[in-house]
Amino acid sequence: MKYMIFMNRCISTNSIILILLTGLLTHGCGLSEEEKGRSDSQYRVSDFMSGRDTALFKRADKPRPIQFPRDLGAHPAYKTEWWYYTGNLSADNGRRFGYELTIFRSGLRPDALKIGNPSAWRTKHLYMAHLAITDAAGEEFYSYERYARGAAGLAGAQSDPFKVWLENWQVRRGSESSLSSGKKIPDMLLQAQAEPISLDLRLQSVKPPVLQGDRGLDQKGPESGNASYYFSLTRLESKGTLSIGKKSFEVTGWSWMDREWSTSALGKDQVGWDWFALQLSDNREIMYYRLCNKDGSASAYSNGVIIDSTGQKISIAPDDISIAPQAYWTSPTTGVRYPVRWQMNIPEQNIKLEIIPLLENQELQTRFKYWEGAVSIIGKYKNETLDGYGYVELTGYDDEVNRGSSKR
Amino acid sequence: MLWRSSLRYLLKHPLQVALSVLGVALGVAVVVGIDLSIQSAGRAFEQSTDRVAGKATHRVVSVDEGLNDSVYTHLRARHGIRKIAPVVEQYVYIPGTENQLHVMGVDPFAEPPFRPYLEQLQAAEDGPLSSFLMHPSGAVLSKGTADELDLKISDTLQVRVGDQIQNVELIGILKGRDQYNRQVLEDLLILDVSTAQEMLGMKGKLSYIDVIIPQSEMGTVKADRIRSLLPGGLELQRSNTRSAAIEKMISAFKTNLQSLSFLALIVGMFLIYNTMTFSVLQRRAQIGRLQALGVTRSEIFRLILVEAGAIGLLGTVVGLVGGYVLGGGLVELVTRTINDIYFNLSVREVAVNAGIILKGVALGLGATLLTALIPAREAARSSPRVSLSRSSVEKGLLDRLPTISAIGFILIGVGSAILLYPSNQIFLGYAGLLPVIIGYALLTPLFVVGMVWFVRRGIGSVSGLSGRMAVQNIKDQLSRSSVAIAALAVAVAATIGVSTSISSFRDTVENWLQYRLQADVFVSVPGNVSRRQARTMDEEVVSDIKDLGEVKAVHTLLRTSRIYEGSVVDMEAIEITLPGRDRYRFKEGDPKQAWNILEKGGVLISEPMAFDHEVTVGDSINLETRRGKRSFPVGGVFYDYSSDIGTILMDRGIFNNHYREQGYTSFSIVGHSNVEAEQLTDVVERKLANRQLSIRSNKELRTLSMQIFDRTFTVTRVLQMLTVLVALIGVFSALMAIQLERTREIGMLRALGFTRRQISGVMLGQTGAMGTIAGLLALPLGFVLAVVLVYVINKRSFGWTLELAWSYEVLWQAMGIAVGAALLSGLYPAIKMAGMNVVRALREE
Amino acid sequence: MVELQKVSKQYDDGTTKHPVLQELSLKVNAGEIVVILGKSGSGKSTLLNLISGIDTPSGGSILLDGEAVSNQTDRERTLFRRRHMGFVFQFFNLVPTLTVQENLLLPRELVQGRVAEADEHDAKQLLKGVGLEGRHDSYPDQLSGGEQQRVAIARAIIHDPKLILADEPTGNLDYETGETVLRLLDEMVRKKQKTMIMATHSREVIGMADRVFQLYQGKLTKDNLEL
Repeated sequence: MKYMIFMNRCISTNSIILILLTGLLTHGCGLSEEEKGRSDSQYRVSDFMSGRDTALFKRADKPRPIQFPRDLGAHPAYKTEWWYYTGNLSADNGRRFGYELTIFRSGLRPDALKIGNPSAWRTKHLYMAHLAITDAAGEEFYSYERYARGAAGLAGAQSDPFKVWLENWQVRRGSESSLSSGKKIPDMLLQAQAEPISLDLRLQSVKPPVLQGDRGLDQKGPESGNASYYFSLTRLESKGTLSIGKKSFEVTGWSWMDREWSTSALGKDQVGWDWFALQLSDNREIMYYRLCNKDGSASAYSNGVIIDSTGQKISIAPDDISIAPQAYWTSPTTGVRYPVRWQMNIPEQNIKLEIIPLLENQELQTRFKYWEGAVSIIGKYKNETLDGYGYVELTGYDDEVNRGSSKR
Repeated sequence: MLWRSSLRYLLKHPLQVALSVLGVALGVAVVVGIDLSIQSAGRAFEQSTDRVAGKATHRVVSVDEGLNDSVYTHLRARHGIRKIAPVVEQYVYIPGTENQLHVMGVDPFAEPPFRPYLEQLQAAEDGPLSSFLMHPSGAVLSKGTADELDLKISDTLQVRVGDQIQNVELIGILKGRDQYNRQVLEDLLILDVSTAQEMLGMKGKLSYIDVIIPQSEMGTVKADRIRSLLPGGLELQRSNTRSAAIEKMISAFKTNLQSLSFLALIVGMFLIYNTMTFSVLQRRAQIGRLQALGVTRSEIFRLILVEAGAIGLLGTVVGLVGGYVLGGGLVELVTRTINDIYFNLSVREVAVNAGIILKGVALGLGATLLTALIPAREAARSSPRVSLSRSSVEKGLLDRLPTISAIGFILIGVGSAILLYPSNQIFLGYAGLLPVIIGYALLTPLFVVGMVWFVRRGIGSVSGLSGRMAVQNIKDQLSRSSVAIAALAVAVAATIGVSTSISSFRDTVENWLQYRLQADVFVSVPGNVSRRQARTMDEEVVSDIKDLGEVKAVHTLLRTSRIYEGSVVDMEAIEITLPGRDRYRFKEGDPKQAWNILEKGGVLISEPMAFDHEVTVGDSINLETRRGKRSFPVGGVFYDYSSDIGTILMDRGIFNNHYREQGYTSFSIVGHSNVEAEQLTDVVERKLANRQLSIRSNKELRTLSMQIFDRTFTVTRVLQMLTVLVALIGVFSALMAIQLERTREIGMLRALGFTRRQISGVMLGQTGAMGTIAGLLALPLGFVLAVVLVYVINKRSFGWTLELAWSYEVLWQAMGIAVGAALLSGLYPAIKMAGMNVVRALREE
Repeated sequence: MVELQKVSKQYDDGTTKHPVLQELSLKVNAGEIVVILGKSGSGKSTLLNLISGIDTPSGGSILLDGEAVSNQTDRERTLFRRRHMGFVFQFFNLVPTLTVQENLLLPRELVQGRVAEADEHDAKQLLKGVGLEGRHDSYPDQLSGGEQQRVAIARAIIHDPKLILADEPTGNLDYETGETVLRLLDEMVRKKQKTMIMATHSREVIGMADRVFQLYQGKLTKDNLEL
């Protein structure tokens, strides 16, 4: 989903509204096409409508120091951002689960409100959240979405004490003592539920934050400002409870958090991406995203890193890596065909990985549908066996034309 | 052949048939018209309830006005309770008019499960949602309402909220997907919660929270969970609880209107009976001949019934159409009354439904056939020879006079017994009234005979030949004349009864206003005097006025409403100093003690409240407060005619302990004795010039109150007039028939040397005498009706004590109507007969 | 007493004119009984109506006691009729809603404006004279046709009129009853020395007439053919 948020086409103010609204409005065009006539009042309707509002936001055009806990909180000067949690968990009996909890923020016009003493419901932000659980043994995939205004306590994000929430889906700082040990990242409590699932985890970062790109400025397109601020917590020790219906599981595992904020990240030729977040058994992690051009080719702005056990990062350029789909799965609901098995080779690092989904069907049945799922990894580093778990996000497959006919 | 003869007979008497049809039609039209108007009002109310409630099954409400919006956040964000939606709701006015818009402040993110019509709150790619959320005064209207107000997108609309004018900018127009959706959207001004809170001065507040709870075990669990999470003073109740309570408010109003419409039908039934009896009597010779020819009794019986059926059918059809038209007019009156005294309602269309039409048909046809049964049986029963003799019919009636009169007395007895039976049922009141009216009508022949005897003996020798003949004719044509007289008498009695009860009511209210409105100047949030206002004035207004040198005292009032035992009641919190207290008069309880109890935390209740809920001094009433149910001792029952739903009076200090509502809906100002009322009004007006408040002097308010009072009774008066009209047509057609039947006789009289004037004299004398008899007959019945309306129907409907104001004027008017109506209806036959061609009349058989 | 000078009458039914009487002249002297014979529809009733002033002629003039009726107003004619004429019709002679006595007194009351006890006495006497003693309180429809005609005869003379007009007084009765009624009429008129014009189709009446005329095709001819 991150990818879509990047795409102005999809996730400008108006389109998030569209997303939000499609919840309200099943068949469109209820509003009459009245001329947007002139008005003497302070605000003109057109002010609220056009896509040019991105101009009112700051752009991610140069590296800025990323600080904690400040940058855990919201960045209202930028149009969009998210808190993206994924993780692989296992129950006492070895039953494997994957989870995703993402909270998106989309800024409305930052200059629009000039109301003295406004209502607490006045908002500059729309929030959207996705929650998904993969139950490998039960062969079930659960997905949910929610929308709310960033006001009246219904949704929001704050840095200190850290909390990001949409209604009762939330991630917040654990005990204060978790910070005293001099760590930058506090322990986090992640809680979300939606009938019949519920998730209650404590996340503890065991590695320092990874600043992606150039000191956290991750260039995604050719123009200045076609970038985002981006850091990741690649190894979060996770422990807690996961319930499905009346069954409750004590779970442990590893989670991954991505924090990203930007105003207009992608170029207009980019139509989708494949994103990999892999946590390997040798305490290394690989993050790689492959941006896809309209013609089906991989964008030169595709990018990745390998994090070693101490938290040091090694960049991966598109030329350093090959990713080949091994199998496809066609969604029965959308008819979209996703590649679901991959062969990833990073020759320079002597890494060869087979990436296998826990379930083939991990397409989120949200307003905008995409595939984001838990994967297991079997492979080799040099000659040693390597395994692990991870998460893969696939977007842009809904339109074959967008991706070009030549699949990689 | 038989049918053809029957058809030709009817065609030969087109005027008579037309009048009968008209009579049936009017009766049906009045009933259908009233039903339609009530039904339409009901439907409009349902729609307004629907548009507000949407698919919500429950609602979290506060015992007082509104609730903190944090409750919503708490339920949703803290406890993850979904399928709840915040609503900020209020009525605003288009400035300078009585037109209202229904403001709904909603959260579009919470709406989808609730109000399907908001589906359309979107647009193409460049949707207005962001402006909906962010525009400081952005609002959405339905296409119909926008067109009506002549607004386009981006136009600004001014609305009056409480005492302030606010601007609203139209950012979207909703086109209802279908007829129903369009209607549901009428008059709805949809805003974002934030905009609504700001505009309506309800920051931090919601009117209520809508909830969807499935009807299942899980639903019960969910409901319990929500209840357990609600802070004190909040309740989870079914969505229809309040609307049901509101609808209950107008049930008495509805019953009374419907009963009045039935009165018109009863009078209409007399008319039909009249017509059918004539048509039988006029053809007694023909019927005799037919019988002589071998036509069986049952064939004759059927013939008459079919004729009646045809008239009934025609009348019903015309009546249905007339009813629809009438309904359109009445619905406005009914709506205005509901708006004046009960709740906001706008009715856009007359809602026709099959039930009403069926009822109209059943009444029209049924009543016609039922009333035709008697003459039909009579026609079939008489033997051929007797059929030929007219006096035998009259003789028969005279013979049966004792029986008929006895039945009349029995019916009156039964009716009186029902009326005297102690009950609170309005229905029983009318059920008792009906036999009294019919019984009384049955006494008409007896009365006529008596009157004629009296007149002949008493003044007969003085009034001359024409006069005597006229009077004698009435008696001799008893079977025809008494029906017409009875119909006229019932209608006139209804006039007397209704007028007297209204004037009693009026006098009582006027008298009550006299002591209730004692202050010099009254300030209130504009809008209706009698209806509660959602938005109130703040403290500042009152303190500003208190500071004025001319002002001696200010008494404030906050009027709001509560649901007490399933009914809506008014609650008034007052700040009132000693001298102001004598504006309350007590029906029960010692005033001094009553005020004492009020100060100590008790309540005073109005008469209708005491009546409806059967509470009195010494009892306690339980009210929901912010801290749960509390018991309040009742210190007194005071007279109050401002509201029939009942009022609970509470001291403002006590009120503030239990409820959070702030501000005032109105206050009254007493000036120093050396300050002229006009001067005081000026000063107050100047002081409050920048606020949208109604400032009225004592006199103005009193006049206005009486205006509203009179407006309220417009419907009643219209119905009453229609009833008289039905009766007039009845009398007219009866007299016409009687007179036209005598063509040959008149011709002979002319030959004998009766002048035209003498002929007219006989005619008019006869109708005039019938009118007089009807008028005299109507007086006692009118008195009884008035008494029943004032002491039984009104009491049971509204719980008010009224003083019967008996005015001679009404009596003279009634007499005037009776005689005038009769003379008027005798005029046409009189002119026609006087001017007729004697030669032709003599030649006619 | 009654004089008709070239009296014509025609009825207009919109399209065509139907002449009923054509330039008809007749003179009836006081105390005379004149019978007009004619078939049904010959114009007998019209003639009587013209004489009584109920109807007005289309041409010619009618003189009553030397005064031209045709120049009078309806009201004048009515008052004259009330005062000086008595009527006996073929049927429907009596006001159905008045008793026999009331019917009888009707002309007196019309003339005098009121009735006194003397009038009631006279009425009873007259009733006795026509053989209906004791029936004064009956209503007309309680009497037989012959009885009704007798009441009518009594009524026709109760106010002492100058002229009695009888239009088929026996037309509605059986032969025997008719005979009786005629005899009674003859007797009463002769006794009181009244003038009477009687229209009938029945030749039986001829015997009581002083003069007989025949009305045929709108013209009056002296009837002596079958005497």
